[in-house]
Amino acid sequence: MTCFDFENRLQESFDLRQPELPDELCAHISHCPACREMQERFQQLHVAVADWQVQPPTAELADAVLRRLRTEHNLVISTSRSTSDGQRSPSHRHSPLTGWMALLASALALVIAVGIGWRVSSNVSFAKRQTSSQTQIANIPVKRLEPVSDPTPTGDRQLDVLVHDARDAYAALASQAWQQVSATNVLLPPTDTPNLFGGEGSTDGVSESLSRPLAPLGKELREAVDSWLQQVFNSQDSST
Amino acid sequence: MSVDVSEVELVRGCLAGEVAYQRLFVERFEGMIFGLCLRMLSRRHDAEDVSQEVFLRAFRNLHRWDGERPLRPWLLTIAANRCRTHLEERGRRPMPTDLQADWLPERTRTDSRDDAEEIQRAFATLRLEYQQCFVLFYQQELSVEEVAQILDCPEGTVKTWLHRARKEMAEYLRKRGLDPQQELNDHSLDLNSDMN
Ligand SMILES: [Zn+2]
Repeated sequence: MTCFDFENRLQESFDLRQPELPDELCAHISHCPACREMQERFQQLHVAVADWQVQPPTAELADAVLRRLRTEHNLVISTSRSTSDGQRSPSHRHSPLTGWMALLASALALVIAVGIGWRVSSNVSFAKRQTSSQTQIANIPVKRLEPVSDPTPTGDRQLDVLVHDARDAYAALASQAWQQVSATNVLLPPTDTPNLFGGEGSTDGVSESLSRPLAPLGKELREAVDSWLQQVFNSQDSST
Repeated sequence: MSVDVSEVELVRGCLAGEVAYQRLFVERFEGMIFGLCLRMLSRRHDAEDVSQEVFLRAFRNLHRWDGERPLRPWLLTIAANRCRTHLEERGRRPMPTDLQADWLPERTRTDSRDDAEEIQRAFATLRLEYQQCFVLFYQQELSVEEVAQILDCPEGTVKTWLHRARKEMAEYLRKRGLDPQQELNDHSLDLNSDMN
C-alpha cells in the first residue's frame, strides 16, 4: 500500500465515522511515521470535535423571533390594506366629508361667479342704456382675457370691448370653478352605484370616463354664458 | 404544549399562525441553528442575529416546505446560506481573536492548554466552504450525502473539502505544538474517570 492509497482509505474511514483502522492500514503506519502522524492527528481532531459544545442561545431568541414575526405580519397586513386602497380610483382616497366639503366650496365659487357675472352684466346693461348703442356682441371676436387698461372707456366701440372683457372674465371665472370641481372629482360615483358617466368595468374606467366630459365644460359654459348674457341684454333692451 | 408534536403538525400550526406552535418550532431547532451560526460566525451577537433571520426566513417559506422531507436539513440549508451571506457582507472570514468567551465548551479542562480552544482557532483559519462542511459533518453529525444536499454540491466535493479541512486543521495543531498522542491519552483518562 502506498501513502497515497493510505490517505484515501483513511479519508473514507473518517467520512464513514469509522476511525478504527483496518489491519491493512495498521500495517502501513507501523513502518510509515508520516502516515501514522496523519492518522493520529485525524483521530485527535475526531475526539476533540466530539467535545465541541456550544453554549445554548439566550432565552430571548424565541421571544425575539416571535416579536419580529408579529411585526412583519402586521406590516404585511397594513401594506396589503393600503395597496388595495391604492388600487381604487384616486377619488376614493378622499373621505366622504372631504368630498362634500369640496363640492360645497365649488358650489360657493359658482354662486360667487354667477353673482359677479350678474353684477358685471347689470353694469354693462346700465352703461349700454346710457349710451343707447346697438352692438352685436356675438359678432365681436373672442379676445384673450387681459386686464382693462382704461377703466372709463368712452364711445360705442370701447363699451363693446368692456362688455366683451367682462363677459370673458365671468366665463373664465366660472370655467375655473368647474375645473376645480373636475380636479377634486367630487362627482365621481362610489363603486357600488351605477356609473353615471357610462363607463364600464373597473374603477379605472370610471375615472377615465369622468375626465372626458368634464374637460370641455369650460367651453360649453362660455357658450352658455354668452347666450345667457345675450338674453339678458335683449330683455333689458326690449324693456327700455 | 406537548413536544411530541410531529413536524407536519408543527408546520401546520405555524402556518395557521398559532403562536404556541411557532414558539415550539423555534425552541425545537434553536440549539441546532444557533450552534451552526456560532461556529460559522464566531461571535455570539452575530450568531443570535443570524439565527433570528433564519427562523424568520423559515416561517416566510414554510408553505414551500416539502412535507416528505425532514425539517432539519431544510433549516440547516437556510442557516448555511444566511451565514455565508453574513460573512460575505462582513467582508472577511471569522477571526479567532474574539473566540474565547463564546466558543469555550462548558466543561473546560484544567490543562494549561485548552485543546478545544485550539480546535476553534484551527477551524477559524479554514476556507468558508471547508468550515461549512466541517460543521455540518461534525457538529450537526450529518452524513456526507446530507451535507452535499445542504450545500448543493456533489458528494465528491464534500469529501474533498472535508479531507482538506481535516488536513489543514491537523497541520495547524501540529504547528501549535499539540501532541496528538498526549491528547488522546488525556481523553482516555477523562473517559475512564467519567465511567468511574
Ligand atoms: Zn505512508
